[in-house]
Amino acid sequence: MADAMTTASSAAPARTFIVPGDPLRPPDTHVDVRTQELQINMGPQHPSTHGVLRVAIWVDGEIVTRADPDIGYLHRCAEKIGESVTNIQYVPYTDRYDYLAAMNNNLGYCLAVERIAEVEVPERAQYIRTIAVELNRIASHLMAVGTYGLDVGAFTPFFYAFREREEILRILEWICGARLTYNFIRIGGVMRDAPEGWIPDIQKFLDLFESRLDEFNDLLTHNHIFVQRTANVGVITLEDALGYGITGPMLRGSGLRYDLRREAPYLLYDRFEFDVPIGTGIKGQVGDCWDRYWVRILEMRESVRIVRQAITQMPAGEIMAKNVRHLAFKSKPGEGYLGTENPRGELGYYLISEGQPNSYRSRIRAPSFCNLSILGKLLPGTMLADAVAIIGSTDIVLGEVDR
Amino acid sequence: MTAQEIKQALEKDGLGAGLTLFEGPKDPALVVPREQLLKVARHLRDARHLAFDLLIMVTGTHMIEKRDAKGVVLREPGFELIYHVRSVKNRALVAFKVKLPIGDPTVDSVSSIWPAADWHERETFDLVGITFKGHPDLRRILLPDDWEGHPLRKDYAYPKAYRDINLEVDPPWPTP
Amino acid sequence: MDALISLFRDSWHWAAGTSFGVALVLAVLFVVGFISVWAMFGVWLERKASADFQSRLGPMEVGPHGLLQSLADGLKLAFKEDLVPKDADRFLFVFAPAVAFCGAFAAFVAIPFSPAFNVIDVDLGVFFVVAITAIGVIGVLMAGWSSNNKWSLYGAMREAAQLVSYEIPSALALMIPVLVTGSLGLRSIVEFQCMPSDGDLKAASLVYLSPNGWLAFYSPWTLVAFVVYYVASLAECKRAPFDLPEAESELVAGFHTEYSGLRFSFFFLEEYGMMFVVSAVATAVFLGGWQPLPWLSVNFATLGIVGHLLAAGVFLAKTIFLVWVQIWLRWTLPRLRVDQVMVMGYKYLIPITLVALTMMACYAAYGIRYVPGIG
Repeated sequence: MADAMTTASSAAPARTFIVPGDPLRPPDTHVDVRTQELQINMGPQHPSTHGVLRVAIWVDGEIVTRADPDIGYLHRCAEKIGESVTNIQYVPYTDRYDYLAAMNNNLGYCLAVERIAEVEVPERAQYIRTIAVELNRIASHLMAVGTYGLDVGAFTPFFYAFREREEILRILEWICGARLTYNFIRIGGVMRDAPEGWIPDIQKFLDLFESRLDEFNDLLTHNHIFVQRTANVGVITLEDALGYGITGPMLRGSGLRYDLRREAPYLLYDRFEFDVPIGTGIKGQVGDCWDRYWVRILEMRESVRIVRQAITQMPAGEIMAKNVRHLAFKSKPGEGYLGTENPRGELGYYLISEGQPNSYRSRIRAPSFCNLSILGKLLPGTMLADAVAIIGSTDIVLGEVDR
Repeated sequence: MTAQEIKQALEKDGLGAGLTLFEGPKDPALVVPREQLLKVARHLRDARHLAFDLLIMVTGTHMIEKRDAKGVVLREPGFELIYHVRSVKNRALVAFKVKLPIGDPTVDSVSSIWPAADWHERETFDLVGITFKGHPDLRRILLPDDWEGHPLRKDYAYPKAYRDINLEVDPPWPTP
Repeated sequence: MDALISLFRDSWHWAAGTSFGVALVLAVLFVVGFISVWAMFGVWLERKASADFQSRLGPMEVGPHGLLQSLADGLKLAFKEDLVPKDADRFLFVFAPAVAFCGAFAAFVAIPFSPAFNVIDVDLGVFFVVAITAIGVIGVLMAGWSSNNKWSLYGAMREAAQLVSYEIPSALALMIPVLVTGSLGLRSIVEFQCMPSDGDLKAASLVYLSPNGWLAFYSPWTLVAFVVYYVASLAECKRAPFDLPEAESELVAGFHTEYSGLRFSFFFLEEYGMMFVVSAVATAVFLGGWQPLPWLSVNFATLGIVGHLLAAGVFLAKTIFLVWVQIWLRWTLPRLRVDQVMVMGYKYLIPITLVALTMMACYAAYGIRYVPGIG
């Protein structure tokens, strides 16, 4: 972390301008104008950086000339801890990385461990996992679009998005007792079976949600000023997106229909019918901020479809595998990578196990970490207000960027 | 495409020098010798039938020496870098490893092939201590710039102090 | 204030010379008191209205329905630590809120609350208001510069560009009613709107029809002028969608980032004061001042002091409605980017206003009326 707030003290080279059309001067006269670039820090305390992110920006007036994201303010030695505690003990830690989609983090880690340790998860547990994960996806996207409105200056849609998010958090609290860091999906199954009335409550919420989403669209999505702020801003071409390892709604916003739930299905996603929305440049260019935002809105609808199908297909049965206790003492050796589709992109866990109850190496592939790396290329040339809109559209969570 | 098929495709394209297969358990991976890394990586990205264009992750691990009960060396100490790359067109995932000796943890940077590797390699340098030749801007990313040591090494000694913060304090819970 | 002076002169003959001074002091105290109470009410209105739009309740604890909340907040701000940043330009930092506040405060002098309730019946009312409120720009610039904070400087720079740019369409839009009525004085513009058909305002009956009606509906060009003036005044008050200078989510708090305590409350007073001033000017010039309905007037002067209070009540009701619409717009619309603000001001509002001004001049020259005269 370099020194904060360094002023542009080094003398910038003088820029020369050609004075156009002045009849008293001969053509091609160069005028010496000495200007300086201003270096400002966006963050680490800043209302729009979605966490403790510092972006050192060099600006020339209102235009950004260089941007350098500086992360590490929330580094909590996750991977080192993964080597010290046992796999079973590590599950609550995974909640804290992407704290807005904690169920997905739990799921990724448990699936990775179950693959290496060869644990069979009962079917009812898998359905409950799917419902929890998709509800969390809706909650995470609501947070993303609500705070994106805040970044752009619309204060009211945030409250409307959070009204629905409250409902989901209440539903998830009912089943596992926590609203944000659930520790619900465990190795071998889930923590607790669906209580009486949980499923009808979810159905009631889903019936209400579609109309609320239409209301939200009327308020923010098609608002002329919002479109002016986000369309044609921060365009990521498909080539850049693939080169920088971007996944999730950011990649789909650039026009590629790539979703890990379809490409490499895990956890029963091959049994459900759902579409994968992409950005098509309705309001501006393909791959601009509005497209990424629109993909998130559409994905919420698809998650509703998946939850409805999961509810109808869910069988009765066990919720936890039988032979999980022994993982506290020993495991099977092996190494493997498993990628899951987080609301922000591809969340992957690469585990090296040597038969001990704790992993030899547990590496987390955080989607926000990779999505953030394009900022150094994307921000130069935009205006400062656009920089805020672009950072908001990447939908990062610093917990998983820094781990 | 399995790792075996990718290895065969690479051998057919003339890049099979020194290529071995790590069988598992669990996920097989290609083992690429250090000198061949850039050529193999570029071919994996550019070849039509391979088209591995989405770099997922670059992981570095410090491998300590492993001996069995009789003292026979099962694994030399060293570093291991594993790259995971996806192919969007072929719906495949390839994992390839590069093994580095303990005294010389340097390797070529693939950031010219996949720009995503830029930050992953910075993180590996920061936490594990592997140096990447040809990297445009190799500096620490998660830890402060003046931190000493590489924490994810197995022989990492926790520092006693950082700048003027004393780190050898008693924890706030009762200790024996 | 003339009424106050005559009041004093009649009752205290021996203090005839000092009556002007006393009246002046009383008037100033009244205005300061009015602004303070208005700011408290304005903050309460904003919090309740925004809560309503966001499906929550707003302040409910302090006082019935949170009416005393602003008082509690004011007391809290008064007790806060007075911070001046270490490397800030101390004189400018301390002086800036006062300058900004004076810009809004001084404009209250010209507002005609009722036929007799105005501090000074300024002949150049419109010109005076536009000029005096421009002083606020200097205050904001001083605040941004002296804070020794790059984000504050950003807010100040954006604000200077925005406010100065939007003064042009704002003043031009006000020129259209001036063209119609032939007078710059705010009271004369209201009297034009209340003018009975025979032209004698003082001898009119209690309730009568006035052919001119509200200037907003007098002619399509004055309607355009009203809309343009309202939008430009949103930019003058730094309200959303033009709230770049204090864009919370981008610049932390813009030019007043480093201010705390009572100094910060001065900026707040200035913001709500400006909101009132521009709404009051819009009411007086376009919405008929104390005229209850567009073509229906009430001769309040015949009812004595009660009549004047009723007139002031009508005026205040319209002004508060316009302020409420400003609040409504703030909490609904996102924020425009700085170049979009400039485009809107220069490429849209100014040409529209110029066309409206030209057309209004043609209408006036050829005697075209939008609404056929009544009587």
